[in-house]
Amino acid sequence: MTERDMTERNNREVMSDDDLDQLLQTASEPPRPLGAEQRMMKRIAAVGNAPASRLERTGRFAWLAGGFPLAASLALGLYLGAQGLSIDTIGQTDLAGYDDQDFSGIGDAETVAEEDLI
Amino acid sequence: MALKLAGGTDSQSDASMTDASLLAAAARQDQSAFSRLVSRHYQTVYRVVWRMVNGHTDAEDLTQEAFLRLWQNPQQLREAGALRGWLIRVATNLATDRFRGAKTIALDNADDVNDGKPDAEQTIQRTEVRSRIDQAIASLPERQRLALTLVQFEQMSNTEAAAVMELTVDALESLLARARRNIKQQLSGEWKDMLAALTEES
Repeated sequence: MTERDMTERNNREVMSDDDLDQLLQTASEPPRPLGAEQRMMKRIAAVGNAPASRLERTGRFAWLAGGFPLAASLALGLYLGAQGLSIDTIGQTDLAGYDDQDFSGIGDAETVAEEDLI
Repeated sequence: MALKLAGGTDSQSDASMTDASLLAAAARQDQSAFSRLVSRHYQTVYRVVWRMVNGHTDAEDLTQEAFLRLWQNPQQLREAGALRGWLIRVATNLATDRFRGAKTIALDNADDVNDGKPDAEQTIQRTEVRSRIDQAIASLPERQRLALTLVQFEQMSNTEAAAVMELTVDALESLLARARRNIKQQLSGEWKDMLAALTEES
């Protein structure tokens, strides 16, 4: 029987689950690494005691680093409000000369009679 | 300071200590308790990682890294009863990260099975069968390979394996079915001869 014949024969028959299980049993087994667990514990010993919780690692007052800018912003707003001041992001001069003009755009539209649309 | 590895002389009290109690002690920096956890779970995690990286020498390093993360931050494990699954997930995720970008992780000591030369009297030796199976498993997508490893090689139930992979049982079974179908397809042209070789040698 040639190799081609063998391949064709193989292809005609369907591998069962039992067949596959039998083949899978031949898969390589992981070696049992000698001394691996001892090496693991040596590494643990080298690392030493587990670090403290994240809060203790970063400091109990770490939240202040984020809180200060927020508090400062709030304080500034309260101060300005108390003084009657405001921060204008749009300068008043930019709007000079436009008070009476129509910005709606309606006046620009052409008059279109309904009958023209038909 | 040299640490004695737990196990052996006090097996009864060791067996009665649950993972939860050992983990609680380890969280108090009790290295002896942690060594008991290592004894309990190290080999399982190592075997799974070994298969996921196709026997690469990094398997031990990846396994150690997973245990080290547990030691350094035991609070990240929400449920002590799921310790083994957590360790396997962490270790396999580390393996994925380490080998990200590599299309396949080369099989260690992989033997060439077929040199392409036609031979009417070609026989397949058991070692070649093993090599071919190893190649078929190595070529599976990661999640299929993990599902197959947990159920086929680690003898976990579908429920246990699903818990490890954080999947529903249906999803796990689907992965498993695809993995097996994948391997069958890969071996479709040679499986009869492979089985015959196993039968002849037994």
